[in-house]
Amino acid sequence: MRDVTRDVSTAPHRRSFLKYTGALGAAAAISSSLSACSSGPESTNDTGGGAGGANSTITAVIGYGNDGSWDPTQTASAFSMAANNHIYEGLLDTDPISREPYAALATAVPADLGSTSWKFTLRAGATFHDGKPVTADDVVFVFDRILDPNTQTLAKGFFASWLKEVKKIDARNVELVLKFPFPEGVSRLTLAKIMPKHVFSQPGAWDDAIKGKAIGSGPYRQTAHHPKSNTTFEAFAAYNGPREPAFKKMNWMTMVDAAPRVAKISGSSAGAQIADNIPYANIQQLKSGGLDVQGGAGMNNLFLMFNTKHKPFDDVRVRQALRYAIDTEKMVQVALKGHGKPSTSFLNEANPSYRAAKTVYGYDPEKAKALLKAAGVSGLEIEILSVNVSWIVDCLPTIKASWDAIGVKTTLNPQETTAVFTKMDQKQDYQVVSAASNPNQFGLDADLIMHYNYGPQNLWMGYARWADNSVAKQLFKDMDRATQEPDPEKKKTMIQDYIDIVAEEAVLYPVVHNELMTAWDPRKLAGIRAQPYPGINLLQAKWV
Amino acid sequence: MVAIVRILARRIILLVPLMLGIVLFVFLVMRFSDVDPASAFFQGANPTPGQLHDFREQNGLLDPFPVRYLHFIGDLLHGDLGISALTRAPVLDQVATALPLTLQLTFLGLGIAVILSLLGGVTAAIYRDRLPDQIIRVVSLTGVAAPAFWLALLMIQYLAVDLGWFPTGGYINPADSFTGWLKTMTLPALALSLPVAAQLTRIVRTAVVEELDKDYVRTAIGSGLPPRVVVGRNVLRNALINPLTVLGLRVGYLLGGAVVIETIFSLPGMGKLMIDAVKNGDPAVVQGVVLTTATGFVVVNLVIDILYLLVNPRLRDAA
Repeated sequence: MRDVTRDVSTAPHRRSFLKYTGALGAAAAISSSLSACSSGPESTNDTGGGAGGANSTITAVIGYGNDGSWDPTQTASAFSMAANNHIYEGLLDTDPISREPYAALATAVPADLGSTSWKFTLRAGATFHDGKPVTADDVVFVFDRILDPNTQTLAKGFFASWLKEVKKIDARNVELVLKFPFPEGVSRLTLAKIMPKHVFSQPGAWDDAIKGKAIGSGPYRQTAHHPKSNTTFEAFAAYNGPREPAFKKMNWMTMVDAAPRVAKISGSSAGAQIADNIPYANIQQLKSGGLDVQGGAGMNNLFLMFNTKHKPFDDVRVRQALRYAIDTEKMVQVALKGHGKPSTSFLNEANPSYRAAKTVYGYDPEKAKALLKAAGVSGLEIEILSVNVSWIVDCLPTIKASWDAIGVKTTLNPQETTAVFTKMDQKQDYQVVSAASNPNQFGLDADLIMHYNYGPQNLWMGYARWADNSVAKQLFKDMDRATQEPDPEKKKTMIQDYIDIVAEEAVLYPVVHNELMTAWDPRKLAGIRAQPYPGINLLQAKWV
Repeated sequence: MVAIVRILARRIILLVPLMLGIVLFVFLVMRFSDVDPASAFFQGANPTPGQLHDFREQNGLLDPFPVRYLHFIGDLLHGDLGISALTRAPVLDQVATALPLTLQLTFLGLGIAVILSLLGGVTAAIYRDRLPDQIIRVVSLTGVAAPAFWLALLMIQYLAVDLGWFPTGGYINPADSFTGWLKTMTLPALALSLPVAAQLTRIVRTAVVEELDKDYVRTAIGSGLPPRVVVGRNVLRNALINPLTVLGLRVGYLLGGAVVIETIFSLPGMGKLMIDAVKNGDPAVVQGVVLTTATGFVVVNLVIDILYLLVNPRLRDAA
């Protein structure tokens, strides 16, 4: 009895327990709701009504990360390149499929492409997304950065060999002075996106550009950017160019994992209307659900890149051996479900400059073993540092099985693309990198494609630590000579010849070329054309 | 009340070595990472060995291990969880953005688990060894055996893809649309909570059955009180002490389960943040997420301990 009395006087009764816990639960629920309303991640899904209608938000799912660099002069990120095509304009831009140039920020394509002087007039009334007018100073500002010998940009590799300088004529007119006639250059002008000088000349602004700050003059304005999640856009009301925006708002979600990406566009109430990088295994399922699934064969490829400063990969025989060991036919059939071909050149077979290389790495494990033996290598252990793009991950087991079969103990280490290339930028040691590449993002001409990966100051050569090799130095000279060759046929032969060297050295070389598939709902979207390279282009699409 | 305050103070003091131990463990484990903070800071800038050395010196990376540990604790006390090697953004900012979503998911899952387990457990106990009990037993045992990630995939296939009732993934902030938020959170919360609900159902059933067998219940019913009142007012209140204590421990499971569930449903919470950081070799973020989650778990268990002390006089006396 005494105990009972004391209980009552010193502490809540046992029955009060439910009150306390109930109060705690209510407090937790309220506080979490309040905190949710005022903070937490931004929405990644469309918060508006259903699809259809001019005011709806189009939701797109991109199978690549949105946390790569967004600096147009510096990015090879599939997501940001595709997005930048909607945000920025070049003097000229190109059709996403044919790559034919059209006047974007400029008023016309130069009449004489064989000249060494191209003059452009800027579109009257063109404004940046912050309301400031686009001027010749902005054009000069961007090209000065690209051509600056002290600034290393990706775009420099596309321009520096043939473009001498860009001069301001007056506020709306500029002149591009070429080192020699280079008609192919006209299709590359889309790679020099015109950025506002008053924004990106500020201290730290280029770092902001890398992280996602994007202010252009294109049909869509970036409204929010959440790395690893989504990026949103809205139609730019003041846009007066040739690609009028058809969607009031766009929400591009990044989903690198295949399953959620496919799920997002599947079913009667799919959360997205278009998705790229569709796994081959899901094509029929999506088609039977009423979606259009189309693709194209281009330069998309899985490549291997060796660290040539890491023994024994400094020995060309080892690099060749590891390539001969890969059962590429099996990779095409099993991982790519037949939607690819073993690489017989650096270029894909549909490229106008294609010719099978003198060295073609057909599946030959005995030759691989012999090459390893000749190089004096035994008991080799390799870790493949790979990007986690879904179809690449599907291909990795074939490489592992092939290398294990010739006595090379192989481990796989797939990571996010950004992580892999951040490690490359940090000069971290590695043995072999496996990644996806598609220089068709930049264009179709073979000279551009080869300069994307090879060159004395090339980013990739820095990753592979090969630029100071004597074979590489000769290769780069051959490449420069081919660039300057005015005769198209001779140029083609020169390119094919130096690709033979690239194939033989096997420093950075494709394993398979494959198709890329895009799926969309034709009941909701019209004007979609599947790209044979990553990303999507909605500049000519519209609601049905 | 004085006893309660004394015990509370003792528990809080005990938290200090516990937290120091957790921090030490995390600090030690993360030292095995192969990511060099100096190289990470200069990402892409091709630093000279001199620059790397200067950075290490300025940031105490060359100090002896114990000194670095003390600095690490000092930084934590100032709310500094470090800088992400990949994004170069403060880890605290990333954690602060992701944490609310994980809390929403956890508490929503907790609520669903409590409701389902109470309904199932009490019904099974009342209909002991009869058909409803057998059905609930089969369902709950299946639920115990079913992993959350498997349930999540099934739900995506049938409830999201086939029926289109819910989105397959992604997140809507409740400030943008509360119904949208509810739609995006329902499947993840269900997938997370069903295994917990199944376990709790078994515990609730056992506890209620024990109470129903007690004399006071027979007396109450025999004296004319409706069984609904006896169960609702007396049996349930007495029977719920153990299940609620277990529920506190299950919060840890829910927090851990959120790691997988967030990844499956593309929810940008703590779990996805950690998974991405582990995959990308970003040790500062992994460290920040682990420390925050461990702290949350410790705090939840402290609250449960206190509540249990309030309700259990024997424990209070023993203390």
